[in-house]
Amino acid sequence: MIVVSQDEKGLKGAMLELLEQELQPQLDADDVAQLSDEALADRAPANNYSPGYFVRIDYLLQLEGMIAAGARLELFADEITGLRAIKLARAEFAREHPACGNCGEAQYTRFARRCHACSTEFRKAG
Amino acid sequence: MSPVETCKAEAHGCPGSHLTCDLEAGHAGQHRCMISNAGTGDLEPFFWGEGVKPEALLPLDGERVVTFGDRGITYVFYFSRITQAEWEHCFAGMYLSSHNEGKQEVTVLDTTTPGIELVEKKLVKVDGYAEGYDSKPNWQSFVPPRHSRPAWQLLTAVAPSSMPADRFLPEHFEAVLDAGWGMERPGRMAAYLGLTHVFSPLTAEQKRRYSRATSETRVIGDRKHGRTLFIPKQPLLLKIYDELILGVKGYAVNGAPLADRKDIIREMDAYHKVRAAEQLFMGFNEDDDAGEEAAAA
Repeated sequence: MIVVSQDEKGLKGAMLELLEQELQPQLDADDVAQLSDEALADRAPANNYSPGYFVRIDYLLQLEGMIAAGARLELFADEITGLRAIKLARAEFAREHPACGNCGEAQYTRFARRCHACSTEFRKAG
Repeated sequence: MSPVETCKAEAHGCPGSHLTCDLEAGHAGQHRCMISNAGTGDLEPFFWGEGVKPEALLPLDGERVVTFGDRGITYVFYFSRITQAEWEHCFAGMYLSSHNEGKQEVTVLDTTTPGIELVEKKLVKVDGYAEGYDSKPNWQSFVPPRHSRPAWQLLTAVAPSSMPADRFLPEHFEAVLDAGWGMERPGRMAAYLGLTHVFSPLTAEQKRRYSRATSETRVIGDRKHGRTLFIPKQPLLLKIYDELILGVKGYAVNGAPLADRKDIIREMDAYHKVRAAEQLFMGFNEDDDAGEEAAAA
């Protein structure tokens, strides 16, 4: 049995999955209106982690927001574990999907030659 | 009388999502409820909210009775008082899990198994069966599931109230419930509307404790295909109830209104405590409104 709140590797993987899902092109309202419920369900990304991981991440993001807002909280060890997992996932995501220097949009891959959002051309490093 | 409208249980305070409801003569009128019992066939309707005066007090220490009809026979089940410890044991047996099947998230909720166990444990007498039925040893375990299940549903017939709400006051929070409790006569449950629980405001610490507790899960199997088990939150809701309760309206013990805080903590039915304390957190999480039973679990 896995205690989700203490599973740093699992929380990191689930957070990374959430970030990857956010990167996928979103449907606009017109597309949504034209698609049947079944077609919408087909387009929804599959979650590769058991639902408890996403429930915990939701809590950790709330906690992170409270800390960012200046709340002074004593954290439990498993909360520190979870917050670290989120930070590590964001760092890995940023490595794999560097932000465009012009518009800040995360790129689909780190090998992109042109920003998919603002079309800025990227130069090769070195 | 206006035509019968079909209403959603959650919207009009019927006792939980396991019951379907027709609403007659507007929201202040009678609720005619049918126990929806897929697999065993529909039972006869019982009436919810008829003939109960608004000032009637719910007798917490009175005889605990539920009644329903099935295939032309009216049954009455009599229970001894259910203590908080017995409710806590029942809550601990409730099962809520979730797992992925392809792109679908499948949630499994079982509150009935521990509920039927509680029914069998607390049942002291029944009317409606053959004479001498309840004189045999261990007779409670022979009650058919098509009857123990609705008995459980009626024992837990408590829901946020359909009565018009008062304006919110900043210094306290009122959770208002409607509940089935006892019977008007065999075949007809009695209902108490507008049962009020007055709480101090939640502290930031309590909100965080609740969020933390609802995010505590275990996974059986591997990370990706495993089944998430949710930990019952009723024990925490009971604690928070006892910490915050200031007063109640509509309940009685020994025929007198329940007023003293210590008496409330000691005497209040634990299921009512949970349903009232839940309302402190309604809307706190986005998915709070997703199903009455899920909320109860």
